[in-house]
Amino acid sequence: MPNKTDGSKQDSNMQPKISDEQFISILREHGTNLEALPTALLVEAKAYLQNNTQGENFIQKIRSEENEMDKEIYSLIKQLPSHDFSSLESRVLSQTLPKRVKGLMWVDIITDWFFSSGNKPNGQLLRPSMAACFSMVLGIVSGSLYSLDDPEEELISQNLVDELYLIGLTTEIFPDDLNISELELPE
Amino acid sequence: MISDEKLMKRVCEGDESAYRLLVSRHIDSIARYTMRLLNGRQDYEDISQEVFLKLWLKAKTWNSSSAKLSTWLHRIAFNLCMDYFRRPSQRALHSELKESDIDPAQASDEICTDVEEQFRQLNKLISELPESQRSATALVYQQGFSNKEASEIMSISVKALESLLSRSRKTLRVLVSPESSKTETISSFAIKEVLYAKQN
Repeated sequence: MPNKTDGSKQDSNMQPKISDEQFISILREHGTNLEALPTALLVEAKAYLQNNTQGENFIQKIRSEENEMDKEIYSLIKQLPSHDFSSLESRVLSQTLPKRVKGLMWVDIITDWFFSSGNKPNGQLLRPSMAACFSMVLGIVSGSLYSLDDPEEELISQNLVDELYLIGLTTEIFPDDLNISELELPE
Repeated sequence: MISDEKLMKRVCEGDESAYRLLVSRHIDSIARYTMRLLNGRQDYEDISQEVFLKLWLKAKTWNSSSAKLSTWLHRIAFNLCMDYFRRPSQRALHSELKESDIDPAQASDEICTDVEEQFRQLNKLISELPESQRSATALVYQQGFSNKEASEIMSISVKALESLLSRSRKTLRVLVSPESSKTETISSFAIKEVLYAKQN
């Protein structure tokens, strides 16, 4: 069973399996940023660099080649012939502009405030949650201050209860007034 | 020259002449960008028109302190183009894109000089890039936006934009490196060889 010391020794003395040409090919294919290489190739490239002083020179050379090519691409793109958009311009200018409804603009502004907070992910979450919290607090405060019950109805029901209570206290019930004979009493 | 900001204030008040000035000022840039994103399909005209209609209707939502007007307009254009690509009918069309769709004006030219041929190839290569890479390339290299501005337009991070640009550059290098096709074959072979050796 190989021990740890042997393993580290093996790593430091790792022999490259790739030649100069292959290393250059890898750089050309995947770019000079070694960290972006696929893992298998990264191991090979690192092993190559450990044992070859030329490796860094190859990287520098290919990087400068890439920069030159990029410059050429920029200049080509810049030189691309421009299209004539005059017909489109006249089409846009001739279109009838719709009238802006003031009320709708407010809706737009509010919607934009909620959902267009640039690239900040915090802003995109913060604003809707702020609005939700605000409406919740407003609901709690208004609920504690005001009641939805009709105050007049409440007064009437309270008066009825009082009246029944007073009737209960003052009314005397005389047994003679009751027609007991009509009642069927158990034998 | 009246600044975009002053013109936008006038547009907010309903001044159509200010709107016309803004259209004349930005139409070329917006149309070039939408045309590039849609690979020269005629729908770019409708989208450009819609961009300016939104400018008229939503002028009040533009905040001069957060973005330049051109950045804001490009962002609207980008979003409209992305909506366009999401339509199922367009997806099918996009995958069947023909070379002649790239630039009708140039494709019709039978006699091509070396430069024209290079431009044609460049257009072809750009048109074959994925939408996000194409947009990043057009914004930075063609429209002249900074990486930060382009990332704001596309609603991505600067790092993500740089990654898109790096991938698109890699594709476009084929154009300026005539031996690349040969190199690619050699390198692909070399990599396969390395991987094979690694496996065994």
